[in-house]
Amino acid sequence: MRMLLLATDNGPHTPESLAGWTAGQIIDTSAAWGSSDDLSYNDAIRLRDRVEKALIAHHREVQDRERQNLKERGSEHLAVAPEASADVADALETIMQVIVSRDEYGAPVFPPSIRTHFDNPAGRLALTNLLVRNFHEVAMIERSWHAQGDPDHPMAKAFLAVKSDGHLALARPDVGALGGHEVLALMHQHNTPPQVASAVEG
Amino acid sequence: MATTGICNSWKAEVMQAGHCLMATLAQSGATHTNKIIDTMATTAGIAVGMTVTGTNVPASTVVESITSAAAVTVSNATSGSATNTMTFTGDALKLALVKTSPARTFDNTQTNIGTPGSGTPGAANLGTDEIAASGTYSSGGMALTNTTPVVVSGVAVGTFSNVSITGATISTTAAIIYNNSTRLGAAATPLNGRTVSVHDFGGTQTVTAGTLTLTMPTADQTNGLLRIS
Repeated sequence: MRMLLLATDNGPHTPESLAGWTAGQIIDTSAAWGSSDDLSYNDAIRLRDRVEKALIAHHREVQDRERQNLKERGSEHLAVAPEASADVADALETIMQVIVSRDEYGAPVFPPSIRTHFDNPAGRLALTNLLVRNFHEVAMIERSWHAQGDPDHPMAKAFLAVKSDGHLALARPDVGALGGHEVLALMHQHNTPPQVASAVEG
Repeated sequence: MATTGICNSWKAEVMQAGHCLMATLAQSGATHTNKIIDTMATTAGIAVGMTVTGTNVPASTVVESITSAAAVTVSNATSGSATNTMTFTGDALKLALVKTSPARTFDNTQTNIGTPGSGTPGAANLGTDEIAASGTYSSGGMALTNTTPVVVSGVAVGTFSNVSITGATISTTAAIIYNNSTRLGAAATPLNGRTVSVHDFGGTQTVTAGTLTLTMPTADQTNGLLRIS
C-alpha cells in the first residue's frame, strides 16, 4: 500500500521524469503477472533504463499536444476529453521494440523469458492500462496548471473545484451550472488501476 | 510521522454500509417526472446511496433502490421525461497531507479527519497537523477518483486514480485518506470525514512551486492500496 511520489520544482514534470515514472511502474506492475523468475533484478534495471529513454518522446508528445490545445482553445479545452489512444498504441509498440531489441552484434539484449513475460494478453493489457492512466495524468497536470493561470474562467473554476471536492462541488451553483458535470466526467475517465484482468475474480 | 495502515474503524464501517467506493458511472436512462429511471442498459456498477446527476435530475438526488436490471428508483422526482446520460457517483473520498514534524503520530487508530487545519490533532482530528494550502491543495485536501473494488487472488482490493497537486510549495510526511460523504449517523459531529487509511511517505517530501504526483500502487493482492483478505 505504498504510494510512489513524483515531485518536480518550478513547473510541471519534465518528459524525462515522466518517462522514468512510467518505466518504474512498468517494472513494479510486471511482478503481478507471469513468473517472477522471468525477470531477474539486473534485467529489470536494464529494461527500466532502456524503456525510460524510449518513452521520453512519447510523454513529450502528449504534453506538447495538450499545451498546444490549451493555448489555442483556452479554458474551453478543459471540457474536451483527452485523446491518447494513438499515443498508447505507439508507446506500447516502442516498449515491445525495446524488449526484442538486439545489440550491435545481433544478439538479443534481453533473455527470451522477458519477451514471454510481457508479450502476452495479460501483460499487454496491464501495460495498456498503465499507459492510458499515465498519459491521462500528463494531460490533467497540464490542465491543472492552465486552470490556475485562468482562475476567473467558469470552466477553470469548475475544474479546480471538482479537483478539490469531487462531485460534492457540483452542488455549488457556480460549479454545477458552468461545466462541472463535463469536467467531473473527464476526470473520472480512465480510472481503471493497473491490474491483471485475468486475475480478477467475480 | 505516521504509520501506514488501514484504519480499524473503517474495517467495521465497511460492514455497516458506511462507505461506497464504487467508480463513477455514466449510464443512459429514461426519466418520467417521477422517481423512476428506467430503460437502462444495465444497473451493474450502481449501488444504493450513489449520487445521481444529469438533465432533469434535481440536486442532491441519490439512488433509493435498484428495482431491476434496467431500472432504479431515486430520492427525488425528476423534472422532465426524456432519455439522457446520467452520472452515478460513489462517495467523495479525499486525501489530506500531514505536515513535517506533526504533533501526533497518525496510524490505524485514526477515526475521523475532524477539521483539517484547525484544532488540536488527535485520533478524530487532523487539525493543525495538516499542511498549509498551496497551489491546487486547499485545506481538507484533494478529491480522489474511486475505482470499483475487485477481488484479486482471494483478496479484496480498493484503490483510486493518481493525484497531482500543481503550483504548490509543500513539505509533507504522510497522507490520510478519508470519506467526505455522510453515510453513518454518529453521536458527535462531524458526521462526515470518517478516515479510511494512513500512508507514511518514509520521510519529508518537498516540492517548491511545482508539481507533486501521488501514484497509487498496482491494484493486486500484495500491493493494492486497500486490501481485505
